[in-house]
Amino acid sequence: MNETELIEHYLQGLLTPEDRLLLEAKLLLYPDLKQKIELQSLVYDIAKVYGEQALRQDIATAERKLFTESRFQNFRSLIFNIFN
Amino acid sequence: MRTRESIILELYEEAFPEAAVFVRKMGGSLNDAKDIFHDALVIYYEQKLTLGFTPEQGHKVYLSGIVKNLWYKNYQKSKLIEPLADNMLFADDSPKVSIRLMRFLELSGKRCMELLSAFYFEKMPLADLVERFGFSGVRSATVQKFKCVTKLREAVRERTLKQEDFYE
Repeated sequence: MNETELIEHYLQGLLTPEDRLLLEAKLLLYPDLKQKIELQSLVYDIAKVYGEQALRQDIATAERKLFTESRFQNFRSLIFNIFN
Repeated sequence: MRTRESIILELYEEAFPEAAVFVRKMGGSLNDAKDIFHDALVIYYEQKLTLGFTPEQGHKVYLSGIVKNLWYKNYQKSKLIEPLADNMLFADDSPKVSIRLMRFLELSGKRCMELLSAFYFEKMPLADLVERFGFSGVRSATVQKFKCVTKLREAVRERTLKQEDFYE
């Protein structure tokens, strides 16, 4: 298991108790490792936010089509009637 | 294979009218209904991805339930959802990530960002990643995924050494 994989398993709580202890001992010896763990956790957050943003873009595109394209005229009439 | 956008479009067309009736009844506008439905779709999709479920009573009823919950949670008090700060994405439990940092990473490695978001956000199985990204096999996809995590981690480190836009 390389370091990145080890950190991922640590963050996901998938390490065995022995491996976890070993990693936590290394944390005391190597301050850089703590920073790597924090940064890697941030990378996962970024990947999730990036994915959510792409999802929001797809929703916005679908919405734009429904409210502009002629094939959805019946849908629009129904919605505009609700708000009139 | 159907695109996500076409699935969303169908869900929107099917479930939005009922949401709109509810929002109208509660005194909201069409824009309120659109905003709340947009958020409901994000929640619905994320729950579907995370829990891998198909609602027993159907998508329409489930989405309608989310819309009502969101209304009572966010709109009832102020009538409007508080706008997010300009430089932040997403409210509530979503991680707070600087847009500048995300744009920088997208510019420095779009394919990696797409790969990681497919795996960590969409929870796409490795076998599907192989197909979408054209890897030679599951092993190769796994190796590439970890290479991307390492690459982005280092990019974030270098970036944050230069300026403090870690979390804002």
